[in-house]
Amino acid sequence: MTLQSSVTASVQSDRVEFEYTVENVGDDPEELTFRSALKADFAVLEGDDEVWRASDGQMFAQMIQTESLDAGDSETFPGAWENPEPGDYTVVATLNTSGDDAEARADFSV
Amino acid sequence: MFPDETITRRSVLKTTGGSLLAVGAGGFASADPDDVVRANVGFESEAGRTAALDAADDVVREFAFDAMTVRAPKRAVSALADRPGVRYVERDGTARALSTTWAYDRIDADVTNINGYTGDGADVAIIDTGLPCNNSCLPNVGTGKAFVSCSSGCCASWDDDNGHGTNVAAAIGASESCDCTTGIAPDATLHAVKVLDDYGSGSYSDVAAGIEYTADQGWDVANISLGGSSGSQTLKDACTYAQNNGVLLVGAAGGSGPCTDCVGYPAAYSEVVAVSSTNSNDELSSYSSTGPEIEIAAPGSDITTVDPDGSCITISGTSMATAHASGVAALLMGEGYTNSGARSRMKNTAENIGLSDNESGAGLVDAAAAMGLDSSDD
Repeated sequence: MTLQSSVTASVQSDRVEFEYTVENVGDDPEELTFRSALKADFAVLEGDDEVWRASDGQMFAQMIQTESLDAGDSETFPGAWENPEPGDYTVVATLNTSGDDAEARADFSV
Repeated sequence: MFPDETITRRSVLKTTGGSLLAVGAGGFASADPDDVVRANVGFESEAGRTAALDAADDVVREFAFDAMTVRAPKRAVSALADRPGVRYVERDGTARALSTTWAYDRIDADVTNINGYTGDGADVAIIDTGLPCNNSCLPNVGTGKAFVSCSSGCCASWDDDNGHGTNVAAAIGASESCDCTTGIAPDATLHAVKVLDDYGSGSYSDVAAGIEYTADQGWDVANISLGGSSGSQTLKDACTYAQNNGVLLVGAAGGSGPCTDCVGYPAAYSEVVAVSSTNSNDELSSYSSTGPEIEIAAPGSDITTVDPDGSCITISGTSMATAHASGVAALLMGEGYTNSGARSRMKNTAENIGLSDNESGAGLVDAAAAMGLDSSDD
């Protein structure tokens, strides 16, 4: 596993901003094959229940996109959850690729 | 209007089986029947030679090897091919090799093109990221409408700020003079219906509005190289509305493969022709979604096409497979087929390539067979 990932949640007054970073910690370039124009997705869980997903209600160009991530390089994907209800949550960030989905999680409270 | 499953029988040109050539200033493909064209005619008897002379407005040259170059109305040239003693009829002119892809050849668009089927008269909506205003490969861009904003440097509200719309549009209708590729229906009119933003994403409601708009324009084919993993009643209703108004909806199965029963939306709706993707070995593309909704397969892997800046790019996806199926749909509807007639015809003439029903539906789309032409050169 040469991809290392992390996600942060920044709680604002009317939204939560996510920043999901995937880094190639291996010695060789890593090829990322995205399944569509959706490269990364964010889901918010309250306990075991999914209460929000970034890709819900969205459609995407159905093109396979390949990117090379050089050794030591990282790529960051932003996301935002608008008008959240107060509560304790977990964000789960994943890559929409045919390989390692590089899942990352972080807990946050609104 | 033609009834389902029938087509006007045009005179079919015998060809010499050589490489497909495009004529500099308009080939047979784009000529009206009364247009005078230049043709090379080979013959094997005096009857054949006489037929050529009778058809000709004038003789440009006569060769020592039983062939001549003539100027004649396209209609007369076409009829000449069926006369006794005529070995071949081919177009003449300032010829250059067409830039075509493996996909173009695989579905026998070379055969349809040389026989004059080019999608002329068909209106195709590219429901996508937009289209470029001035791309030499796409001189046939018609009108446009934007349901999302174009981000920056836009020549029109419906300009393509992502590239995806241009990529799929070129596979459908790039002109014969394009250096990257030639469309399956190079004379079809392509309309930009911009529903996806510069990231290639858009809301279900914007996509639904784009489909509704396409229906209200009376256009023939809607190419929908986009999708989501779940449905929406609004989207479904838009598809029903468009189908009832004569639009043939062609949609991408999606790139979730390998997987089973995973066709995305709106392709999964019964109103939409769901298209899976194959590679140049006639195998299912590894990424292609499959399921009982798949209606037809088309080439989608490693397809060379056009980017908005005019450069060539090679890409993969059920997006591109969808474009090839839409191109064949445009050929059919350009000849007067209804949406349901064209849909049936595409399925009934598809080629069995040995994939399961859930992988390829009726089989690989076949442009030549759809137009009633011999496609045995597979």
